[in-house]
Amino acid sequence: MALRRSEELAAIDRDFRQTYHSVLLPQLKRMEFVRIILFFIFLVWSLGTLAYAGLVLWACLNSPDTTFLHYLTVAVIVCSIFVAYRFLEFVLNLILKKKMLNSILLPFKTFKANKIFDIPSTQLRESKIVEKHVFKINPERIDGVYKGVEIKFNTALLFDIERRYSGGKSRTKISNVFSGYIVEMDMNKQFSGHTILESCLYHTDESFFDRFKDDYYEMEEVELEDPDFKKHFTTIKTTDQVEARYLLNPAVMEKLKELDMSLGRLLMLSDLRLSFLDKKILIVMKVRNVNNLLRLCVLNKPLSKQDKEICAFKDTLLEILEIVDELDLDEKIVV
Amino acid sequence: MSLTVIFAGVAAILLVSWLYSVYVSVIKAKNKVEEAMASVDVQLKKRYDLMPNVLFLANKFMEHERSLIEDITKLRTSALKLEGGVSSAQDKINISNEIQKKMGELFVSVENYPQLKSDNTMVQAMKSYSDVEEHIAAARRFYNAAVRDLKNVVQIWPSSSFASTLGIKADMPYFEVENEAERAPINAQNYFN
Repeated sequence: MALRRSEELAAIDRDFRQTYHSVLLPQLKRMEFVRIILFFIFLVWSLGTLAYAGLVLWACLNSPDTTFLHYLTVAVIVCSIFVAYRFLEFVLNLILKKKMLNSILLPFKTFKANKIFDIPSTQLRESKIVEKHVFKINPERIDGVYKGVEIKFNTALLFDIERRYSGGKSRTKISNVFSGYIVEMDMNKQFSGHTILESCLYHTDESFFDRFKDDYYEMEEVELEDPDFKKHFTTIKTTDQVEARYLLNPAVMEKLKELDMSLGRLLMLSDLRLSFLDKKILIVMKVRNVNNLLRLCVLNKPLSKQDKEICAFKDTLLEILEIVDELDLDEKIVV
Repeated sequence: MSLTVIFAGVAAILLVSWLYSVYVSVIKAKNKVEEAMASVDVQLKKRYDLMPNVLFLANKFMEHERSLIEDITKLRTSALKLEGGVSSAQDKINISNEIQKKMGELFVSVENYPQLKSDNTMVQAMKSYSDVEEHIAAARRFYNAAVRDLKNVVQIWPSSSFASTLGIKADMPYFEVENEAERAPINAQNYFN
């Protein structure tokens, strides 16, 4: 079921089309040389690598001492071509975002790329809907005001460091525990309790004893009347049962179900989580894989023909703003 | 110590733990209803505290609704006399429904008084009232969920045996509104378009 777009968002969409032709397209044409250079580097790298891999393979085939390890080395050399492609595409995206993000955000009026602000890790921890992590990377930080609601938008990659001791040696493993979008919306109303919703339970990876330390488990389960809602949000917990039901009235439940379906389809989400705490609503959207995060371009296509990628970027932002409309955050909560 | 004794000991510990967990669930369900009723009381108190402001302004402007205002005042007085807790649940539900109905009528009548309709204090009072009504609706849902859980505990074996032994009954009524139109909380904005 598609969400209906408000007048304001439809206007942003219209403005974006104009901005694309008048501002973005000339900028993309100017940036084309960067893509060509990076693509040339990739071609040189891949041709050199293929030639080297071919030589190694030829030597392997003609040598009686060839082992499986030799063939594995050839495979690794070939794989480095794909790694190089991804890396150079990532670099190109970074350069483009640095140069063009504010131009893309022009139709969004108050929204700007902001390198200074950050959603602090303590706040993420307090929300209890974000994985335990040691450090994070925020490639995009955008903030602005929509219908009086202050919105901070981050793409986030969270990493955890795990130390394991075996045989007197310690091993450190860095793992990417989360990649997706984190949105913070400031409200004018103070919530007295803390309510969280999760579309899937991710706390299961914690140990049995963690349950006794973590005050997440002090929150009570909320039994809502709508069984269909429970299918979308398997975990609904709160410290204030009345406030949870005030927030999750039947109309809001319907809207959250629609939102879960709509965002899941458009942003390739694997998980949608919400936290209502103090004056803030935190929305955490985990994407299925890192490649689904905001991308402006691909390496092997002229930038001027990549309107699809830029439009997808814009659509993602519109989807985020649609949350304000769908949950009537401007009217219902902001008193 | 023979294996039979160890087995019997473990079985006894498991049985006692299970019985204790059933006992705990019964007591928790009972306490939950009391907690939920207390939440309803808190929200109803908020409503009764807000009503004088609305009634004072209504009284100033609305000449033809004097009897309605008097009825609401009487209902509020009797509501305030009721004891807190689960014992007076039925009376609370009846009076609360009656007040909600009458206040709904009052807000509809405000439409006929443009001066009152545009009065800032009235608009603010009605907005606050609408917010409190939404909280009452939420507290009601919490109470109903708690009563439903207690009814399940009292009626389903083995917890039902514990409940009857402890003298716990689930005879408290559900908070139900009388008709479909009253189910939706009053939204002041509907009257100020």
